[in-house]
Amino acid sequence: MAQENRERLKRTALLGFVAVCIGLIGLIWADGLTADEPATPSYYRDTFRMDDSVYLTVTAEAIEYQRNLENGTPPPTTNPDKHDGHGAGQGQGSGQNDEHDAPTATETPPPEG
Amino acid sequence: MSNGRTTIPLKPITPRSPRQQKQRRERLLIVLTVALVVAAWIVGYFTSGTDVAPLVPELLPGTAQVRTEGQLFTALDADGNLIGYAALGSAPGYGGPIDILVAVDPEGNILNTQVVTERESPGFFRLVKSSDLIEGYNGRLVTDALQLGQDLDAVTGATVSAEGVAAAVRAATRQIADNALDITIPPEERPIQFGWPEAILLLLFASGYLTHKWRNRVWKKRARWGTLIAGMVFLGFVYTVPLTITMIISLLSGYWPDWHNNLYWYLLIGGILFVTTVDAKNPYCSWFCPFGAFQECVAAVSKAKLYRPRDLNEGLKWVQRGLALAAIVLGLALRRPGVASYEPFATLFDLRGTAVQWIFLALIVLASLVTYRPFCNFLCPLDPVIDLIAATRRWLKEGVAQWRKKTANV
Repeated sequence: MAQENRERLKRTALLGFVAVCIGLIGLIWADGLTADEPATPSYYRDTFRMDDSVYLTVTAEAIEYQRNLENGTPPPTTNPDKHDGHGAGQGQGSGQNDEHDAPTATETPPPEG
Repeated sequence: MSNGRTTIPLKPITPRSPRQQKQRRERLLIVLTVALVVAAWIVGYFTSGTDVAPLVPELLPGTAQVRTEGQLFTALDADGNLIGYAALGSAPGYGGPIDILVAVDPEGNILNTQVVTERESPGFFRLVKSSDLIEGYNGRLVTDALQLGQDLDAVTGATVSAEGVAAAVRAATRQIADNALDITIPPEERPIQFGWPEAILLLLFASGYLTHKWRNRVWKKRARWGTLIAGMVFLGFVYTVPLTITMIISLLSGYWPDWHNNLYWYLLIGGILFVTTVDAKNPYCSWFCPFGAFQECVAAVSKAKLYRPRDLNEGLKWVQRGLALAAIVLGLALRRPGVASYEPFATLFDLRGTAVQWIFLALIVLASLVTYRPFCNFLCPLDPVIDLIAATRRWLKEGVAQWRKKTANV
């Protein structure tokens, strides 16, 4: 009887040890995943941190367009007023038509608050 | 009374023996495991990657426009005046490549550096972050040596990660110097680093491989204790270079470090794979694993023996395999090999870790007093990996034998 109880206790202790260790391993993984989040945006992450007061990348097309404007060459667009700058950003802006819109530098909205 | 028909005797269907059934199940699971690992690899491949251009204005304040030419970024203000340059440099660290964005002014002074991506073990990289290494680049010139131990302080306890950071910064500054500033920096010398860790590892491999064939049990046992203690002292406490699951995930991810200064990595992984594949023996775990040796020393004090009830044997084995698979899938899918590691090696040998890691280590040490090598027998992710290699080897060997038999009959 005592032998049986001892065996049962050993089995419970072993299973308990393994279960607690699995829990701790889960915590180690969670700590590693949350502690050092990359500071940079991933292509698949929709929000990222950046300086709100600056423009984003200017494309070669936008530079060409600006040069044309400065040199007096007519801009290659039929409806320049359409571009109000709102909601523009990396091809996700609303109301844009690539065929008619002149490319411009992407502008970031003013900081919130 | 023949009706012209011939009767072909049917071969009686013999039921599969339990051994055959087990073998079949094992092979099916090997295929599923490999498929899962491949799927995780593909997910990791397509979801990793960072967009660096938006970071340039953070490193070069006042930037209104960023021109991109490959990995080189030219920052201009609103009037089109040049503010500076930034470049992305990449170099292998402990868990994979470390990518660093370095910003310099038009005169070649380093203004800012930022770690874009790293795949290191969080514990190691915290040491790098908390050191002055990354901030220490500010104000230096692109023409400076930027070498650890020369003009930069090394980071104790995270040597490989710190070397990765320094090499990535050098790669970035070289790119700016060559492509933007028209400064020629002489090519970097990369001598092959073969030191004591590599020499000791080769000796341990050789002694483990040769002495396990000895017939004299007493001498064999003595030799094994010798290699175990040497492994614990040198690969553990002195150099802290045990085999970890991070290395396996880095290998699978394709994040192979530069062999010139990481020869140890190649010798360790290559040696284990070679001996396991050719000889079906695992020389590392039983002969010189430093953490296994530590547990054996604790068990020798209390004379603990392995406790593993037969009815729980299969279940416990699958728990261990599940942990290993979860670590590999996690590391591959996120392309962060360092995060997947859960072994308490650095906590013991470097006396470094979080509260959870210390509790984990304490629990294992206590368990080592009552059962033989509890971490190796129930939790270590490397044992199932070596088992998988051995099982695949058996399968292939049987396949080749059957194919030979068939071709011989033909």
